[in-house]
Amino acid sequence: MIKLNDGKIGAKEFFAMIIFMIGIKFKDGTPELLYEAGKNAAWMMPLFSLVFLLVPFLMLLSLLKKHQTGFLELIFKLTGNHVGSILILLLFVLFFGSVTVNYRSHAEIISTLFFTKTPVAILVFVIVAASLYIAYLGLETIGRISWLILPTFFALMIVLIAFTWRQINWGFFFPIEGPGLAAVLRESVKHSAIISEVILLSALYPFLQKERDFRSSFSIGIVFSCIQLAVFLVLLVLVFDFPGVANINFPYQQLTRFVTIGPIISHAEGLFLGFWSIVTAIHFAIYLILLVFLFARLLRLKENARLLIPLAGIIFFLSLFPENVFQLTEYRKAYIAFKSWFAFCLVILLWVLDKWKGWKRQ
Amino acid sequence: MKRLVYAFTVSSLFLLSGCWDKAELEEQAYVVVMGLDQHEEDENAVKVTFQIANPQVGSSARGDEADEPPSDIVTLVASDVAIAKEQVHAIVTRKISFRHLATLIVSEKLARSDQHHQLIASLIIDPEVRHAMSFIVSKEEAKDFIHANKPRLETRPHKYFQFMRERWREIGYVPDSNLNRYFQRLGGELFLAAYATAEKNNAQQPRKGYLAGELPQEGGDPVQIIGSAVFRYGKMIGTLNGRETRTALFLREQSFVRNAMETFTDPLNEKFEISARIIEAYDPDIKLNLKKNPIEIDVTIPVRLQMVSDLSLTDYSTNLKNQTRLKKSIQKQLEKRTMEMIKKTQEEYQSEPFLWYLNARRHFRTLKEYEAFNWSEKYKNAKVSVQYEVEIANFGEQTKPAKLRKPKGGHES
Repeated sequence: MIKLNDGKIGAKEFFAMIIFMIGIKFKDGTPELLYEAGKNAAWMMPLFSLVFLLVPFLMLLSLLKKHQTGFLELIFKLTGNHVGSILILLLFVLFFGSVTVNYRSHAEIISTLFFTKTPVAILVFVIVAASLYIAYLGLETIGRISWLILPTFFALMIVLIAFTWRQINWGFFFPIEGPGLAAVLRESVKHSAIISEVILLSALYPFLQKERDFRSSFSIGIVFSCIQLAVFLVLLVLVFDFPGVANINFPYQQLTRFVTIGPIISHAEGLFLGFWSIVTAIHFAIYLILLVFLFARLLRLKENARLLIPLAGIIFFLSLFPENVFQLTEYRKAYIAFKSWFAFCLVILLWVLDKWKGWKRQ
Repeated sequence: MKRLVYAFTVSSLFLLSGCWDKAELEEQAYVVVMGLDQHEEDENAVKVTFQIANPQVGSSARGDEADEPPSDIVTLVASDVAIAKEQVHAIVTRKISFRHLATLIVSEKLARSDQHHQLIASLIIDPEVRHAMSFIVSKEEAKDFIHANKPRLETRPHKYFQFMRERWREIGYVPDSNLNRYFQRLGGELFLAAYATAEKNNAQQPRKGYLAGELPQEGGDPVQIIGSAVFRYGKMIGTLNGRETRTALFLREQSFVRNAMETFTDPLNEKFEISARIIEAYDPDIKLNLKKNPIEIDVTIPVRLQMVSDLSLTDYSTNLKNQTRLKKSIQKQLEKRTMEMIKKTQEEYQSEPFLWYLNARRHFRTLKEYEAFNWSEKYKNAKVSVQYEVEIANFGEQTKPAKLRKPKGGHES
């Protein structure tokens, strides 16, 4: 009998997950960070980060292919039990922190712009609960939902671009290098964690139906995500101009307010908000499941679905700590700068260890 | 049982939204126009006028409340708009909401003060305030303007401004100004805002281009919106009349006015005027030479004309010689008007509203270099030349003007 559910995901599901993990970051507090660093040339940053990460990505793919195992197993295999545990713990702590901060910053977006009177705690709770529910249904469900939502997501984004086209002025694109090419390059490296988070998705390597799918989906997904980020970063500058765009707290949400369909439908942002919530829930469900993976591997637990609820609970309480969204931005900056180098060095380290072990055997 | 659980789960979804931000439609008071005035004595206070729409007027739900006015106007004094928005609840029964606020009116007096930018910049902090909100400067107090603005055919105030905005985009006597554009132009470039008034000042310089209030008018709506208020560094510094505003919009690389009527002196008979519809078929070509000192700006504007009136009844259509003369004359007149206008911006306002700074930005690689260049300062002394490439597309539906055929010698009775 053909098994309908084997707990594994296919190429297109994996692709959709990458888009929802990385490619939608223009919808949260990320543009703010990028505009501050890259000014009106911020759109180049995801592309430069991608170039910077090209070597680690290729190394990672070749390592995974060689050892035919997931990212976490790979760390243990190459660095040994003790160092591996420390590395995974570090990864877990870093991700845990940034996911917590991200939950709060998403709640702040809703709280500031749409539901001003609802307590932030309730908003965080609803987002945590929704993503927890999706994560609880398992990896396969997340993959399927992502793929199911993806066409609607693209359609809505095209609608957004089309209906804000009249507000665009291409003059704002210039001066093309913004703060100067060197500065943009430097900041791209510093902010590469925005993209390099995707490395963690390679922990899911054993869960793909075909191993060839992993490589193609991974490459296409990450390139697509970076281009998508760049397109929206350009669009926001063309509508608001720099420095205006850097002064606006949540430029994507402000952009959706420009959408008017004829003279009658003038407030279409509700449509985007609704869809944004769905996408956000999927986004966080992916992060949650990755966190559980890390944690379960760290403690060598077989059953990991049960970890979700306590983990989500801790995230919920911790995310209530910061006072306001601007403190969060400071945390995020620190995290991102550290994570950028950590991810880069980790992959290089693994690759060097692998080569070294190969030579030793010879 | 399973069904019961299912029904329970689905219906409990409605509770998820909570009650904190519930908005009962019945309890909302939608502000559609807001006016800001300077307080006469306290320079840190502002007079805020809310025009609140009555949703029952103009809808089928009118029913019993037939005598209610289409809107309610309240003015109060506060230190800023956010406070006024709350304090107004001492008067207004329903919850004030800016969600449908699409028009902001600022009095000229406030616009010319330093207080203006502080107010606008802090107004935008309110998440209900939209960047797409229209921005209008009124010659008189904004409060008086809102009270006087009682259009006869558009009972509902938001409809009035919505339709007006559509006309602005078509005709170009008024810039389609909104808050987003205001915030884009804070770096020394000129920002043009719509200029309006209900105070009439009839018959000034007929046929030269009017500013709001100067257009001779009898009957009709009490408010005139024509021309623009010029802002630099967030402060009003002067005005441009309707014709100058249109010229300014025409000179932009991405001009949205493509279709406008203009009158010219008839080249063969200077007593008369001839009118044409100007169709800007292509975007103007703007060439900058920033290396020279003073910098050179070279603008070529291709326009197609459609003749719409011919008061001197001269045959311009079949007589090709006349046609060439007409074309040349129109070209000269357009260039003269444009140059006068450019001179005015260079000498009086010392900056430009043509968005040429965006063209200049293309010549620089980094923001720092551009800022060091100091565009406004360079523009002041720039050598500007403007060429119109005139093409006459058609002469309307008459091949020749209809001339009176009077018999020679004497009148018929």
